[in-house]
Amino acid sequence: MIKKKICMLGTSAVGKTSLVRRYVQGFFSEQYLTTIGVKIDKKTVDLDGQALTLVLWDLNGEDPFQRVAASYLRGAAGFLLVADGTRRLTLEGALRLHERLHDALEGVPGVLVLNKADLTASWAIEPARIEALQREGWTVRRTSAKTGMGVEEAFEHLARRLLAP
Amino acid sequence: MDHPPLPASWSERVLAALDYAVLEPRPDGTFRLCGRMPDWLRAFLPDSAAAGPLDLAAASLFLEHFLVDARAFWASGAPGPLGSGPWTETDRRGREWVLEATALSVDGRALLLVGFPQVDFHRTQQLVQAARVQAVQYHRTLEEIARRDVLLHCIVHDLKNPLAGLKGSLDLLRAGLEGETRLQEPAALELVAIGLRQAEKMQALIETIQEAFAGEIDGLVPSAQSPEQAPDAAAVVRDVVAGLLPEARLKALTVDTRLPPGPVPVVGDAARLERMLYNLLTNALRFAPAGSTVTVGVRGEAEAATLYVEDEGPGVPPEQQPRLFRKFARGNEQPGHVGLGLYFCRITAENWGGQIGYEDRPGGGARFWVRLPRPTPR
Repeated sequence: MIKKKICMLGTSAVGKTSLVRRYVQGFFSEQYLTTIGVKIDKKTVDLDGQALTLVLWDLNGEDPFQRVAASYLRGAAGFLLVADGTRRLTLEGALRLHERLHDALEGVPGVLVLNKADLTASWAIEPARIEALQREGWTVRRTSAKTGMGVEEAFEHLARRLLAP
Repeated sequence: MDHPPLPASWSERVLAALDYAVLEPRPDGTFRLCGRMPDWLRAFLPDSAAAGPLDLAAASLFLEHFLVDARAFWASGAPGPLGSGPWTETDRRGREWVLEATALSVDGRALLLVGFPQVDFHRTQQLVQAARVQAVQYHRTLEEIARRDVLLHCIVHDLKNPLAGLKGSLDLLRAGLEGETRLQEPAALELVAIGLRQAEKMQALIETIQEAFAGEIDGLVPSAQSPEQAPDAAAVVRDVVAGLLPEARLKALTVDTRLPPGPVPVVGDAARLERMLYNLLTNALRFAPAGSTVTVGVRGEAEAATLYVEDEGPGVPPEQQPRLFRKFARGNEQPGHVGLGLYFCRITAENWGGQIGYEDRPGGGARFWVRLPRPTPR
């Protein structure tokens, strides 16, 4: 069976752990419990008859209290760069983190995930900003770990890219 | 008092008391366990692995990764231990553990210690979490302050124009009354009318701001829940339309009112319902092109009633729709409108257990609707 390591990256409190929980366990919890270090999960998916085990490395959020250790990224086959769509600063923080980890992530496919898409009234990312990121080469997905919207699709999109020849 | 040195076996007992696994790497990549096996390690291993060499890389996805670093560390002969940092992983039975690994060399022999983090993990987690929650709240407060600064700027800007008009009218009146200029009575009355209109504009703006902020705490104010006290949505529509007909006529607009024959009681109170409909209808009158039709109606259903206002104007661009009902959403950046009217409508409707929404009108234009619950009979 093919096994691929996927890292969840982003600043703190953007919903990385909730996305993994929604994807692996199928539920959402309102209770926020910050991640210290790394939390490992896995999920086996069937992509067109091919079994693929995704080993999900849910890394602590990058902020003044904790930095993401670049060594955790070794062997990563893909990553989800997660931002909170209701806080514009988390998008810029995620992009800065990606830049800082550039050496470790060079050539590794990733998806930029704008989470909390259920909070439409508080949405803070302008369509023009998303279009600009897409022009820069980012694959952008809107997700809601709370409702499940777009979560499977984001992981599946990345999984398919990992299997692409 | 000087104790005799502890026997070597004591260090093993100390590590066992700390629930540490002490492991020595073997050339084939497996590990030899030194001392007793902690229960938590047993939970990660297949039953067949209780005795003999341990395949840690197969037992733990994290260790599989860390052992690459650990082997490089042992090979390098670098001083000092190599810590993994804490990690969280689920054992074979689904129980979650927080663990930490340390690679070290003792007298040239490679050793791996795995056990529970020596810092109080949960206390650290609580502290970091509290700090992060504070940081998020701090940033939200900064954003709120920035929005209020914008609001203040808009209010000052929007009050300045009618105030200038009012002052101009009063200056001309004073000049006429003091004989500086010739002022006939019709011209004086016209100046008074201009001044009054400017004052009314300022008053309306201030009322909108007051309502929006008062609306935020109106959830505490009881609204009519019984049919006897409930406002009649149809009557409210008739009153608001009657009050705005002169403005509609000035723009050559037709107001088409569609109401059911009987009363339509809804949860709420008449004054705020009127204000809500007034906001929606004045928006429609503002954006409707001259000569077009604005439609206002009520549709009653068993458990709810829907009030709607449609116009044949340009509608709301898709990129502005998600922010339409947010505080300070100045969709069209129109002077005199600080972006609180629709926000007031939303929080009022939600306080009453209802909903507000927008959709493009089929054939072009805007359609706003407010769905309010029907009062429950006693």
